Amino acid sequence: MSSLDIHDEMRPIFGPLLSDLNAGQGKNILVAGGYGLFLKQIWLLGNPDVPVIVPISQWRDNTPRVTKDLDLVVGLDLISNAEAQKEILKIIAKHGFKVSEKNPRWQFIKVVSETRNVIVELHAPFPADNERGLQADRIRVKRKPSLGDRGFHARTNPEAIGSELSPFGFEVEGMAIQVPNPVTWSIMKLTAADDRWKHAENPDNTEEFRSFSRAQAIKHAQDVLRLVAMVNRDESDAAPVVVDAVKTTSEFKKAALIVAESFAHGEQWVSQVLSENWSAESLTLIRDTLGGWFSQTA
Amino acid sequence: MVKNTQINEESMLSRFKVGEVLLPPLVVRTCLILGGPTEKADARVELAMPDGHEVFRFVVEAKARATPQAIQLAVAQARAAREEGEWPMIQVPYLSPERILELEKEGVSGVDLCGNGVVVVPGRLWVVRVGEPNRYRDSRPLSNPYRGRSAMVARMLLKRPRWPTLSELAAAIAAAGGELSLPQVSKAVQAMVEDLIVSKESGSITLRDPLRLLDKLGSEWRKPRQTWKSGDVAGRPVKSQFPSPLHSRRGLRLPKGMDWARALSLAPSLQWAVTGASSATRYATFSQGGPRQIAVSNLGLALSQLGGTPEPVPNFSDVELMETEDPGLFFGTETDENGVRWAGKLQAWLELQAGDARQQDTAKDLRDQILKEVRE
Repeated sequence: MSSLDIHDEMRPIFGPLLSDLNAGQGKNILVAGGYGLFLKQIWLLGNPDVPVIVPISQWRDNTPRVTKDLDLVVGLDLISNAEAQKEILKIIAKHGFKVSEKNPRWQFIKVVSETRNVIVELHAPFPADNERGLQADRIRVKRKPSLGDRGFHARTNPEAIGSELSPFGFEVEGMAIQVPNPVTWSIMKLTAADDRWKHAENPDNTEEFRSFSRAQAIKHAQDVLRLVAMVNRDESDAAPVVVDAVKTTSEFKKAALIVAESFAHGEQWVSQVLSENWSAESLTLIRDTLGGWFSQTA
Repeated sequence: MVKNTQINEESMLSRFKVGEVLLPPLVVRTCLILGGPTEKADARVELAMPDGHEVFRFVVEAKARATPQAIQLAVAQARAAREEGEWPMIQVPYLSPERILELEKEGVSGVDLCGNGVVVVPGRLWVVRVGEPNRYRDSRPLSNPYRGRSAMVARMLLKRPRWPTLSELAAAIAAAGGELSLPQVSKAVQAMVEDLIVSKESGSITLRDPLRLLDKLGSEWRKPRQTWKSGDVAGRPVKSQFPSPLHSRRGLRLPKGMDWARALSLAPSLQWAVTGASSATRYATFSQGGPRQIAVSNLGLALSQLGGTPEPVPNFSDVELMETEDPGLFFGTETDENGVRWAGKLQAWLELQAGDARQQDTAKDLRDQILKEVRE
């Protein structure tokens, strides 16, 4: 598989938006989620000489997963900056995205056809107590004072802890992209996988919901394995610094527990459902890397 | 399995028993054993179909060994002893499917003691039986000249196909890093003579069939056994929440700009060389990721020479050390102007031809180069 073999259906929609964001104050916005992983995979396919933990050529399943969402992690400095807020909101609107009624000011929807919408979500870590110009609850992080309709919020995502540290930048067809450091990205994906798995295992839930949750859990777990597989040498070298910065947080500790309970060996659910996608050697390297990061709980 | 030192031609010929099936459905009608020293052949037999309507006469030459050389000789003797109305037949302890095909092409019949064989009378009879395993281990002095230390003789012959004397060949092998005594070299040459790959005349040795020799070396080659045990640079067991066999790989990060070749060469007792797979770029256009692999005879000594820090992810290592006793990795190496000891082209081919699809593709180029060079 080469980068030419992959059709990026979302590029016409997300590409111009990301380019405009990059051109201004949004240049440090991180592309997380499935689309971030997709873009990194494309970049690695075009740069096969970049050493990563498990080269894509060695993946048993290297089909990029389909996504219609763009998850962006925005810096707290951007949320507290009124000028930046206005600029970014203008760009989002320019590309046809409208504020979602369900999740106003942090989720934006673009109607592509009668049957199809695409979504942009803004996420941010929970601000520290001493962060000025911000207010936050468990749902959203916003500027203080609020800019009302002239600004945006971000979905509170405590797992995005440390996202400002060592992001990795690359270019796909002239489009500059930054993705979160792999430790933060893992925390986000590990937590999502675990939440979904717990729903899937809960007998009080309907069979339909459990089945959906199981599929989602597997998707996020596979994302964890892929994002670790795609870690390059610079990211790997920077990881201990990120770990040091976040290891006392409850999000990191929870992620460490998830790794130990679900990702550490072959008897656990992640291996049970995903081992056929990876060779034993690849899975061991990925597990060892996760183990190296998340065994350092304070 | 029977050692075929216990077999002689006399006992082999006793298998031709009148009235019994020799190679289904052919039955032995008559058998005359010719024991005298002046006889040109070993036996004359008549074979018939079970209904007995048609009888076929054969002159038989038996050999207690089944080497290509012995088979070639038996075929020539049977043909020479053939009389009017007779067809040549040989008998050996074992006939491989490959040998049976060769006999068939030559129009010569052959039977073995395991139940395999071909009986052919052009235009009239064609009976073939294959697939029975060899129950007779060859007892030649050197059973496999294409593997292990003995294979260094074959490698040297591919580098230079003609040698005036055995001792010159042995000296060249020693100079290239092979540790073989003169009798060992002699046995390897003799085994290849029996396989019709090498000829020996008046003391000089000539490679006759480089293509088959290369194929033999390739099919007999095995990935070097890695003899190291799990541990860190200092040899201490690696502590991990997630123990893995990959911890036993000795990937190292080296200080930037370090002259690792010089550091390794400073230990005179250490044998080392870049592996064949990592040397392939020297001989062919081939891009490959991952660290440079270096074969070493003593891992502890190599680690102490290099220093550096252990790297658990192979792809992030600057070098990966492989401790091995495989003599091929240190044989016929080429040292460049920077003191790097590269594996020879043959070693590179051996490793690539047993590798993944991309490596096998590159191996084809190397094979062509090797054969071209040996024929020049």
